[in-house]
Amino acid sequence: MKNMNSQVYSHDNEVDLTHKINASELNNWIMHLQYTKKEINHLVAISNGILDEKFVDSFEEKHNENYDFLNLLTSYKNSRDSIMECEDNECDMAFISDHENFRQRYTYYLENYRKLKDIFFEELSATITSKK
Amino acid sequence: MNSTSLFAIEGQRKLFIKKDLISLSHWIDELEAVDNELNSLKHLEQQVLKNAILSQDITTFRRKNTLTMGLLCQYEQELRAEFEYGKAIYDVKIAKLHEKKRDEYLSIKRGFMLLKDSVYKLLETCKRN
Repeated sequence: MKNMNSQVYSHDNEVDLTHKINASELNNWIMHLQYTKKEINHLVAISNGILDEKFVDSFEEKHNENYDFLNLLTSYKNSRDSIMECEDNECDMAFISDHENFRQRYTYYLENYRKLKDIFFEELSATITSKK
Repeated sequence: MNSTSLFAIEGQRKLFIKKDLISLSHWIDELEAVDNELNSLKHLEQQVLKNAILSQDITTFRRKNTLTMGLLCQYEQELRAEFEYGKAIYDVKIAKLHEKKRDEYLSIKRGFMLLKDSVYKLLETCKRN
């Protein structure tokens, strides 16, 4: 693994390409989690206005999980600089395997966050409908 | 090249395509989730906000999302065929195509973030009673 900027070059081998694709993907996960942090603030504000702060604790929990996971991904992103020092296939595969583990955690976080949002939107709709 | 090396190359080729298939499957799931969230936003728009421009924005965005989902599903079929029967090595051409598809997916994700922000800002002005 010799050139770790995310630009793809014709001389990149398949392992280089995979590391670069993983780097792009990691940036996307971080971007999404940063947006989620902002989204939680919006949902808490809506909850405060319409649902008597009912969901504040649940969203705060998700906010904290988001904060911890973002820190973890940022630390993982920094650790990827050492991919350049990989000298054998085993080292490259260890990074690829780590990436897949982070993907599972990311997916798990999103699934749970979405479940909470679904319940929130259902409750929001029901509350608004009952007031009419 | 001996047969052991050929097997190793084929194994690695399949591994990298498999990885692209996994991320692609995640993108498709994400766009399905976007579609579900659009239902909630549409419902809230009709019930509370009653904003014609927002209603149109949601409809237009849903069309765009559905179209992108279709294109990604088509790409998934092509990638599966490559995984099963293809012989091409995993090279820059395949990687660039995958990145192009990622850009299409991200364009939807970014657009959806903007759309949600505009809905949330309007909902934040609503108060209980």
